[in-house]
Amino acid sequence: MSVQQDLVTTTPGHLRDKYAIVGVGETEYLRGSGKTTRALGTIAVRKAIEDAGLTPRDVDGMLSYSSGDSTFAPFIAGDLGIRAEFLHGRVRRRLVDRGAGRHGDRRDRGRHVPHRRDLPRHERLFAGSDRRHGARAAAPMVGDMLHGRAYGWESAGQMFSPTFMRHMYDYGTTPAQVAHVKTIHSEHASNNPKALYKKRYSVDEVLGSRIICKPLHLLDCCVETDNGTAIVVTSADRARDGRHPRVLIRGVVGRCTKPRADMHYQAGPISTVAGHYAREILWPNAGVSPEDIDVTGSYDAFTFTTMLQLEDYGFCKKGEGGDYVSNGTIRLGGRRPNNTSGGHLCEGYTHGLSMVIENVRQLRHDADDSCPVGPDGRRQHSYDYREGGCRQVKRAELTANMGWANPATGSAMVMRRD
Amino acid sequence: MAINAPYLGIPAPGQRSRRRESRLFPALRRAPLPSAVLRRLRPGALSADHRLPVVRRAGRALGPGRGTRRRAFLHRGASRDSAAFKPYVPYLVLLVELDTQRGRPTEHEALRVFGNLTTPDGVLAPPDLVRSVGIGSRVRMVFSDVAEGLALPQWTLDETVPQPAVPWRYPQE
Repeated sequence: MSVQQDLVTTTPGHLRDKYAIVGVGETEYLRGSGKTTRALGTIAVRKAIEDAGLTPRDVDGMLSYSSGDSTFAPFIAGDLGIRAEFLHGRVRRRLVDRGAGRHGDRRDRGRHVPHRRDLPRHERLFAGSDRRHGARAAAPMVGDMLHGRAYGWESAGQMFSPTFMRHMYDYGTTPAQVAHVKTIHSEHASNNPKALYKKRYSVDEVLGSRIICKPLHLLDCCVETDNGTAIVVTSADRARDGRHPRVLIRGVVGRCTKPRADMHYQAGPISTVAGHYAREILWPNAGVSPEDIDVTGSYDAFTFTTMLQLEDYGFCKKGEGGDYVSNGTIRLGGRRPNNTSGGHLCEGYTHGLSMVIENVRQLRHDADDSCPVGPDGRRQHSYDYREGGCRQVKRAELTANMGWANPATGSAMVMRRD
Repeated sequence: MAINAPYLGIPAPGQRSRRRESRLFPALRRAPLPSAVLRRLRPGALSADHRLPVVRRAGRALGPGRGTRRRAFLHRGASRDSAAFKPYVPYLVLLVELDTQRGRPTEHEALRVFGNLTTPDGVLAPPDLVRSVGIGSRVRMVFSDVAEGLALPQWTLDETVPQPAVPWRYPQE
């Protein structure tokens, strides 16, 4: 491969439709599962490989999102008998670290390895979430913690709240509008047998739940769960041999940031999130616009994060996110349903990857709801979205997933049905 | 020299002899406060070379016309793991835009400084004071003494300037 060809790998046309997701796997979504993250990760990865119709020996490499007490790729690979040609996880990163020095170098190296190689057959990614948020009361306050922890400003909800509050101040967004996100996601979860919380909540119930930190009520917050999630990615060509219809990756944007990724409040507007910048990469790369998208998956650690992302990725005008999430658009049966699994707010929290899995199933037209499975082994979807019913979106062809690290940093992906 | 002092029961180690801090904090004691000093006031610089005789000194340092303008604010509520803050709930975290920095270099890029709402003597504000403050309230910087050589910048209502009739508050009290 010449240098010139290497350079064009970042142009919009290069990635589009070149890779496909062919397997998805997840554990149950539980609290207090009694299982280690290593067990959860191994189960999820094994299920994803089986879903793809592959065996562990077919896998070339693994990427892992290492956060909290997640188990890293090398352990899961070993447990499943995978000899990898590349692994990306914290253990490897630390080894690279010693030689590489700067943080930017090592992150770039880890992220781009799969794409620089000549079409690895299968790579996969997993995320296990069993982490415990927040600092320990006994832990000393050092470094940047002095900036936040000394002020009682440290949990995710607390850290994001200035953005949420400022959006209400700037645009008149109301608590009731945003509460619709929980209400609608809970409706979706009621049609998802594997969701941790299947109960439907009204807007009044959300607003009536106790305040955790303004403007977040208890029911504005996601639920931390024990679970593992995994996907198998391969080249578009190889994906033709898969067990399912191909789900092609149209475009991605990875960890795009606002001008200040550390303290974005110093470079506002405070009510704007990273999607404002990420959309300039995502939509040209995918070759589609928000108007073309049938289903969205928007990180809902909090009701507000979903609203802010849908708004800044351009699904509505800036400042109109409150209306967008409350006017029925994002509900099953609406113009563009969001988080049809119930998302982090109801199904369970897993760093965003569960919403990718859900959209893969939507694009296969095979959402795992309670609809009966026909003699052909395929689910006979009723498209009746009442409680306990169907959650498959009719004629889903294009999906968009929007991931969130914090208000200043985000990632996104557009997928299409072949 | 290392300092190891608890703040609200949380251990807060610091260093006395870091160069930036040794310039910053003596400067803070002088009035009026030069904006160049405020620009250097950042999280890494919270420990000090000298004990700050905080409250009155800092108030005078900022002085009328040098006050601060609060642009966005957080919330009340306790961090789940910070039992230290529990007795002070509801407490307020403020993001304050400084008059001397506003609009520099652009409308959306300016130095803003976090802190809690406190009484003028640097104690976390009681509930009725918390409820009187919202976006638009004007505040001035004071300090919470942590230990010999260590203080936290905080914010208190600026009683020397007019306050907005109704500062913006979260609609559901």
